[in-house]
Amino acid sequence: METIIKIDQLTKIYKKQHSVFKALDKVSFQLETGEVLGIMGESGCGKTTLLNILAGMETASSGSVWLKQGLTMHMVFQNPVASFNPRMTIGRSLSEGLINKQVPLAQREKILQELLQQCGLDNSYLTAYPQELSGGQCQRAALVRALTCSPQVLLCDEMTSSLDTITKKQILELMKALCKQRKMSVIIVDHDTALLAELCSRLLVMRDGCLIDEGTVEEILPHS
Amino acid sequence: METPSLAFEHVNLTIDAKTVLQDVSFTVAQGEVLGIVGESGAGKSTLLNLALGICPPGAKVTGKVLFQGQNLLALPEEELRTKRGPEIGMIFQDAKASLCPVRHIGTQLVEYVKEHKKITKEEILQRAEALLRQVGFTKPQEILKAYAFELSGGMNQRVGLVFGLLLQPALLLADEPTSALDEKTKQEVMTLLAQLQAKEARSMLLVSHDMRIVGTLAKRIMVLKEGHIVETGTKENIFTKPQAPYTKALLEACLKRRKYRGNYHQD
Repeated sequence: METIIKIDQLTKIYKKQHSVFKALDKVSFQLETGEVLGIMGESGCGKTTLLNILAGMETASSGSVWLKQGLTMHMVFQNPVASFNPRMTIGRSLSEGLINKQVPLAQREKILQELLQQCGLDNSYLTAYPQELSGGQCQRAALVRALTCSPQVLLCDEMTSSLDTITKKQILELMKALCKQRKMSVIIVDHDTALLAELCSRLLVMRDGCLIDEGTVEEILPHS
Repeated sequence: METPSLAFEHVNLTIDAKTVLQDVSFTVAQGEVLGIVGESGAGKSTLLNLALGICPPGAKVTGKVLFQGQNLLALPEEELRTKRGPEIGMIFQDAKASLCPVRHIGTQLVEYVKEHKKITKEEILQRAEALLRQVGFTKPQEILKAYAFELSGGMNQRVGLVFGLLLQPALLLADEPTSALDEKTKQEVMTLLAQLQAKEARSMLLVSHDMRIVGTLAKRIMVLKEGHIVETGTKENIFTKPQAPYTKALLEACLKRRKYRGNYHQD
């Protein structure tokens, strides 16, 4: 086990015209290789902000984020439809990461086909536009996109909230398998305690921007 | 017999050659809550849009969508506008996208209500504040002054609920109204919806993947798969004696819920 992400005293303050809002307040934690870390907490407690800062999409007000050299991450966003370019087909959006890595066409197709199948989609989705898909289909396409470049860390922001029970179970099994096969680490934000209990090795609980609890699944979510 | 609040009669919807809804017929009686479950892509959101009189672009629709006996699909756009909101309320799946990104939540609420009702701005804001409090916001004034992008996913979803409920529509269409909410807020929202339901006898079409939520609010449940109705029944029958294999699969895939031992909510 090796530490790949180290977050220290991370604070984020949003300034508005007349007030300030502390979205994150001195949050510190670490992530190890192969670990699945779950984050739970009520809406508005800073979960998404934390992931956004980790992904480099927002800057922190103070504190530090240390990443292992060469660490690759990918994010599955909370709002899948909005995360796709509406003027590109799903196929084009999914290929982008691979095109950037200059993967040849034949191999790209092979990778996509395999992942689509694992996520319960078929090739017909490649020519569709995001607005033509349902919420749950789009969510699965977003997961495929995140997996194409085989990231070492996957950041999931309420990935399963728009999925039905059957698809949710499928995705859960897929995530479990991927973590095992690829030794992928995952940080997952979700409200579904059952899902977190199935998937995670460790859980963090947030409230009003602070970390208020941390422990194993058994400690945080005991069988009751 | 009493006219049902909403009735679908042999509705078929195709886009190009693709069938989205296939011979869908059902009714929602006055004051009844009908739950709709089914996998993603089954046509649940399309069905709700039709109940608002909205067809996806390029779609061919046959059949009738009757709201209190009136076929929405044959009504002119101006008349539909007067119904959407005060008579048929909608809670959208993607609340953030349904809000204007460059104007305050409060401004949008006032505009929305003024379009349909002659009441003063102060009164609208007062009612909005009360509802915001009911959906779990402790400082409603701050929410009214916020923009949609400043709020989190779950906060936006609750703002969407306020939009849907503010005009007290006779029929409420709810498209996964609690998907982005944590357990306790979800509980609060469900209690609120159930209370309003008991008090105002509102008809409701509820789409959700959360069987527990559908079970709490709806007495009757309809299972949708690939655009057609697989099974309709009382919640007891659907939950304990599902007939269709697909319904059984949906129920079997439910994960067992666990409770957080601590409490991360403010009292």
